[in-house]
Amino acid sequence: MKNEESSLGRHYKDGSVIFKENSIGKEMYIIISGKVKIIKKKGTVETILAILEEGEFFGEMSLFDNNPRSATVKAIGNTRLLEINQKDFLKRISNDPSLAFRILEKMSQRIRITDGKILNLVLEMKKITKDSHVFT
Amino acid sequence: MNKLKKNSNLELKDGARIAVLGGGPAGSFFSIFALKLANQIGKDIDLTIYEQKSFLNEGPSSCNMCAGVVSESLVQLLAIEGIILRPPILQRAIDTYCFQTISGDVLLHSISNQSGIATVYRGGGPVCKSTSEKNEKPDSGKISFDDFLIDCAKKEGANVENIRVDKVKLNNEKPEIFSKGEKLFDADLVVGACGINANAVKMFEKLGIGYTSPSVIKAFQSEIHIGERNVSTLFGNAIHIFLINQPDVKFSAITPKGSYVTISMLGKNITKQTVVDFLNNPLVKNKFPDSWRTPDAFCRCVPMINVGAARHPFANRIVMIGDASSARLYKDGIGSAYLTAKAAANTAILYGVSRAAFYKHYYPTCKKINRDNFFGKLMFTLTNTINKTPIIREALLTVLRSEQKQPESDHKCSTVLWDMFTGNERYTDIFIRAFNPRLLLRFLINIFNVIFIWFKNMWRQ
Ligand SMILES: Cc1cc2nc3c(=O)[nH]c(=O)nc-3n(C[C@H](O)[C@H](O)[C@H](O)COP(=O)(O)OP(=O)(O)OC[C@H]3O[C@@H](n4cnc5c(N)ncnc54)[C@H](O)[C@@H]3O)c2cc1C
Repeated sequence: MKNEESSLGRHYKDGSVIFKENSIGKEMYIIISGKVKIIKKKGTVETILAILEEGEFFGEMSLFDNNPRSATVKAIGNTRLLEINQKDFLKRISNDPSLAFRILEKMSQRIRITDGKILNLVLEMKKITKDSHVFT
Repeated sequence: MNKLKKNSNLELKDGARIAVLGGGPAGSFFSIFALKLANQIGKDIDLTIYEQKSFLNEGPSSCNMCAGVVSESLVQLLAIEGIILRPPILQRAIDTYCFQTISGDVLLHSISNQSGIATVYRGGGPVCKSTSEKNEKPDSGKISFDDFLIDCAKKEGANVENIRVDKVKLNNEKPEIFSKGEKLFDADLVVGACGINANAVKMFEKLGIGYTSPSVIKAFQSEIHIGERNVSTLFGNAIHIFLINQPDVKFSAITPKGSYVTISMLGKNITKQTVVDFLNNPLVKNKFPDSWRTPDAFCRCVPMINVGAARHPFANRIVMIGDASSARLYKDGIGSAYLTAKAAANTAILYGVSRAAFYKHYYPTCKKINRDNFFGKLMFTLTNTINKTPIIREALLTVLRSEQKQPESDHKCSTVLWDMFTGNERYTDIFIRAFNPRLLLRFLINIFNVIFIWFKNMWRQ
């Protein structure tokens, strides 16, 4: 009870879905406490793309591009999230564009990490095709 | 104009020294944003915050005396910036405002359906008067919001000196700052984040830069201990606004914290007796435990509140921010400290520290706040009039109650009141929404309804 009263945001139980892939959403979330996992489903296979921790944010892409959610997000353990809606967010950015710096910084970091992963995959694929040439 | 142009190339070079006078929210926010931005563009600056108080002790002398409500918009802005409020700094997360009037009360729940407003202590908490109070002090140490922000500034690389700056001199090219007769250094930039409760603003007025400090009025704050469980059961996560027409009192509110509630009052000549009278008002008394008696002694202070803008809050190598410059009328002063501090930090790092740079890139933020306060004054006058006119007050409560009963419909009137008292939106936007023709029509119909019911009751009698 005490923790509930003295924590900001909204509470999510372990495993609860914060939003689903392809759903329409106009909010971004900041993790006040706990963790979340970002999941992408292809056919029946679920892949965890990332696990985010306290202080990190997610869901910001839909605020900018207005497209459906690109992945599903689930709470890991008891989690508290602060929700920021698109209209409020854009209003604040239009008043103070430098507010976007931290979001851009995080997004750039994520792009760098993704670039690294793509590079590793390409190298691995090249290795596989080279190996298969050797065997044939 | 020529003078403006002549000094427009004052830029902060590598190794530039900045003196921030005051480690309240404005001083810390400035330091955080200036250092972050400088780091981002690879500029090496040396920034020192001078703060005369230690925020670790109890009572007013270690506190920047305010109700400690961090608005929903500021909570979100800070979270985006990576500054997240958690216990023990966060005393309670608020999701409801409760308006108590002599004609009944009405609860307004957060529009965003979450606990989005924070309550904090600015210093080390209230002075403990009894052992029961001491037993309920959080044992986790630091609880001060201001101290937490200073720590955030330190993490960005700010130096902090626990001393009082007592003189700023402008004889040379760079302002010189002094403490106890000893020169501290020649500053490339002096940031006046000294608030309005210290004499430091007078020091800046005497510099001859045209700076005039903002007009202020006195406010009254008291911290009443009722125990953590009582705070939870009787006040919950709701800030209580009392519209009870107490003589000479313009505004009174109770903000729940850990084991205390903070009473904030605005008005003419408020004394300890006014607070005791307030606590003895049946509507207020009703909120406290049956066995509870007003204590003889409680932690209290009489701080100043900013009600008008400063004039010329900048010069070459000098900029005034936070309360010492412009603040939103009666609401979200910490939010204004954030806005002015960030605008000044961005200007200093990206555009330089000349008067012209501050005029072009910093002053618009102050002017925006000042212009908005004009509508704030109108809105507060309107609320006071409504509160003092029983028929209109009754009609307003009816509109609010009917809106709260329909969770899915748009809550035009509730959101106007919510944004007005939470400080969540600009007064200009609230003003425009308050004069929405549909809302006015509904209001008018309800006024006629109330008059009709009154006449009907009189007729029956
Ligand atoms: C009764 C009351 C209730 C309020 N409630 C709220 C609220 O609930 N929410 C909200 O957002 N705002 C509230 N405010 C407004 C809020 O307190 C101020 O807007 C905010 O504190 C301004 O921050 P600041 O940093 O500009 O000034 P301050 O908080 O006053 O900080 C100035 C600092 O400078 C230091 N200083 C001054 N001179 C010197 C010197 N010569 N050398 C070294 N240090 C110096 C002081 O010690 C102080 O720490 C309230 C104000 C009052 C009066």
